[in-house]
Formats: sequence, structure tokens, C-alpha cells
Amino acid sequence: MFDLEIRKPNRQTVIGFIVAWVCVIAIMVLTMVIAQIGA
Amino acid sequence: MFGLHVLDVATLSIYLIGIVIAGLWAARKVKGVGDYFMGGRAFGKAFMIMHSFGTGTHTDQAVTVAGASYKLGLGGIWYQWLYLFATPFYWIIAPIFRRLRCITTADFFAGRFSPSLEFLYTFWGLFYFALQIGTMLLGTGKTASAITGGGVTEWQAIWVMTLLFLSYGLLGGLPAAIVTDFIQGIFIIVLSFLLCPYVLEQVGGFSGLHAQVPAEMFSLIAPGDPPPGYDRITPFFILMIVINALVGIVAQPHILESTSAGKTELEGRIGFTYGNMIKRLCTVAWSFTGIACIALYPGLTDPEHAFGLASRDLLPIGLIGVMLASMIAAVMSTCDSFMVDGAALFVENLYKRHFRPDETDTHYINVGRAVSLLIVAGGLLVADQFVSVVEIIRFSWSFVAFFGIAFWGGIVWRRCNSHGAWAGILVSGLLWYISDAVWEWELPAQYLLYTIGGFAALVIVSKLTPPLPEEKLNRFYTILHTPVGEEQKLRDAGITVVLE
Repeated sequence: MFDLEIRKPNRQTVIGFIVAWVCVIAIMVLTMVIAQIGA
Repeated sequence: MFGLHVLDVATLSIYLIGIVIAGLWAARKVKGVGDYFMGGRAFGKAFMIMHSFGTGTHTDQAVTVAGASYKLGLGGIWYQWLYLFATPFYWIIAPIFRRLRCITTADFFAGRFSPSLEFLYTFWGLFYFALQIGTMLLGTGKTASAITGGGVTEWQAIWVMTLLFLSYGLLGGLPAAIVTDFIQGIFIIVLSFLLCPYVLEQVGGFSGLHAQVPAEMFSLIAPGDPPPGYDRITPFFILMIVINALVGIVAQPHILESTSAGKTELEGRIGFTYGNMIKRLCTVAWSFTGIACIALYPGLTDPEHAFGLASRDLLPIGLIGVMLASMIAAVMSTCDSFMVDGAALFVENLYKRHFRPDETDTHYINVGRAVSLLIVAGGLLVADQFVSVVEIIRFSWSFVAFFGIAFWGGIVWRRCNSHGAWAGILVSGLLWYISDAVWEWELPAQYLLYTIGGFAALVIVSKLTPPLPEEKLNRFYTILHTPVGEEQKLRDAGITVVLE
């Protein structure tokens, strides 16, 4: 019905997207860990 | 000298001279319009990372986050982490821009929709660049003046920064901006982390910091009543700023150039995603600097003075010069790119399209140089007139999202037409105005309303009005779905693009 122009992502897209999420989560965790040092 | 030790002046001078030499060296490579505005799409991964990082990071952001963290605690980090959860999507967005094979984002609105939307976007883009340049220069001028104790006045600092980035930017265009961004990016990292050990030492390390600062200031959310000028940092706030960022990032007029100057799609992807990932890490340092300032400078009237005060009071001789050089680097690396991108908008989407379509490359480059000067001068004049720059910047965050609604509609939905895109922009703008100025809603509620309203208007109006010609849509989507490096397919389909 909506005639969307979305194609199946290739391998580089999928892997890169997952790695980027891992980096974001790592940055968040790192920040929370730093915030607790010395508490 | 200028309120600085001779060693600081020497450090600063070496940096400034070095950056101009690097910019002028890069300027030798400019042979045509494609080189001047898009760097000939020839840059590799390292340059693209530092270019995205340098263009997207400026001094006032460090000052703002440190100030917000001073007031709200670690939750203040969200004033720059608004794009954190949007960052992985940059991996997907970057190849879209590279495949469009446009020189400006206004080219996208012309190719996908209509000249009227191209016209609207061009004027908005020029206004955006001028205002951003003016705001950054004025903000950094004030900070530089504070650090030197008034030894360098605000306008002296502005003139020095402006003359320097004009000197190489006008000659070298985007290649000069990208090459200098590589050096300036390193200085921005220095800017971000240089203060941390000194403020921590002053408060007695992390344990001293926890002893002097209330425990709730170390939380990533701040759900209590915010101080004037700040927001309530809740999970809903974070969710909505991320959605707004994801919608709006594509319509920021410099993003296409930031992702498209690379050799291939991969260079654009890595540069855009990981250049911004470095910025997210630097933001952590800005935030902790602000938190430490709660203990160092209790009761500051203006929390945005925290970063400058700590720099002036805690850094040893020599490093103050490095800090000043880094601050100037952070501004110049953004202003040079914005200036070239603004010139590209004017030349490609107004001058070439409507006034002089058949001139030589040299002619267009010279017009671009003249326009660059006007953008910088206009930016300084305009920004100086506004009482509240912060309000203008918040307005520009929302405004890019209005255009972002039209952009995403045009990318993912074939049936989306020019009427629908106009409706999406106008309705979201109207809803923003009503919810902000009339109803005085909090920021996340405004974002939710105008995003849903804008997309709904885009869909309804597109469905109720005639579709765009099939030939125009086929051309657009063929270009979009043809990976970089497979341009022969485009030529076989009878499609020519200006700059592959």
C-alpha cells in the first residue's frame, strides 16, 4: 500500500550498524563506570 | 602580552601559522568547482573521520555541556548527547548521501521534489550557516577574552579567527577545510581532555569529587524541576531528543558534504559514524569538567563561565596557549566548512541555476569566494543583534527537523510528492510554533507533536494530490539505489550526474 523504497541491507550495513551500537553502549557504560569511581 | 605568558603566545602563534600553511598547501589541489565544493570526492577514512569530528564539534558545545553539567549534574551531558543513540544510524545515512551524488542538500530537494523546495531550502541553509558562524565566533570570542583576563578583547579574538580561516578557506575551499580539520581535530581532543586531570587534582580526585558533590549529580537523568533555561532530563526527554535528532540530522545543510567528500561509501560511513563517536567521548570529559566545577566554583551566576574559569585558574603556563589554540581550532574547523558549504548552496542552487548557468569553473569559484565573505560578515552582523542566541539555536534544531520530515518522506516513500513535502514542513512548523509560543509545552512534548503532525500531513496531502512524474521518480531512485563505483549502470540508463 505504501510503496516504500526500502531495500534489504547488505552485509557491510548490518555488521557496521551492530558494531556502531556496541560502541555507543560501551561509551554509555564507560561514562556510568567513571561516575561511580570513588563513590 | 595580551594577558598571556610569552610561552602561551608562542604556542598559539606556532599553531596559527602552521594551520594557515597547511590550508594553503591543500589549496594547490583545487582545479575546478567539484574540487572546491566537494574536495573532488577523493578523501580517505582518516581525513573523513577528522573532518566529521572537526566540523561537528565546536568550543561553545564544550562550554554549554560543562555549564549544563554544573547545573544538572551528569544529566547535562544530554545537551550534546542528543545524537548519541542516533549515531549508529549514521552508518546507514552516510551512503544515502554519497549515492545521491549531489553537491548540496538543496540539489536533493530539486531532484526529488521541485524548484520551490530547492529555493526554500537554499535560503534556510544560507541563514543557518551565517547564524551558526556568527554565533560560534561571538561565543568563542567571549571565552577567549575571559581566559586572557581581557588582554585580548572579544572582537580582537573574532577578527584573528575570521582572518585565519578566511585566508586558507577562500583559496582552498573544502580540501583546505578537510586537511586543516585533521590537525584541528587533534587540538579539539586536547581541548576536551586537557582540563580533566587539573580539575580532578584540585578537588582531591574522584573520591574528593564524590565527597563534595551531591550523589544525585552523578545520575544520567535529572527528573526534578530544572533551573531556568534548562530542561527536565527524563527518559522521555532523552527518547524525544534522539528521535528529533534522527529526523533532523539529514537536513542539516553541511551533513551531505561531510559524508560525500570520501572516495567511496565506506569512507563516508566510517568518517561520519566514528568522527561523531569521538565527539561523544569528548562530551564525557566536558561533562565531568562541569561537575568538578560544582565543587571548585560554588554559586556561579553564569554556569557557562565554568569551563573558562577552570582553564584560566588551573592550567599551567604553556598549556593555556594550547587551550586557546584548541578553542580556536574547534571554531575554525567548523566555520571553514560552513563557509564553503554556504557558498556551494548559493552558487549551485541560486546563481548557476537562475542567473548564470554557462560560466567557467573559475568564475563560479570566484563567486563562491565572494559569497563566503558575505556569509561570514552577515553571520557576525545577524548574531550580534540577537539577545538570546540559545533561543535561536534551539529554533534551528527544530527547523532542521521540519525539513528532515520532507527528506525522509522523499527517500523512503515513492508516493511522496512536492505538495506532501511542503505540507510536512509547514504543518510541523506551525505545530512547533503553537506548542512552544502559545501552549508553552516542554521540549519533548513539542518534538512529539510536530513530528507526528508533520509526517501525518506529508502522507495525507501526498495521497490527496497527483503523484510526481514516473520519469522523474525513476531517475531519482535509480541514482539512489546504484552503489558508488557502479556508475556505468547510470550511464547505460542514460543518466548523467554532475559529480560522480
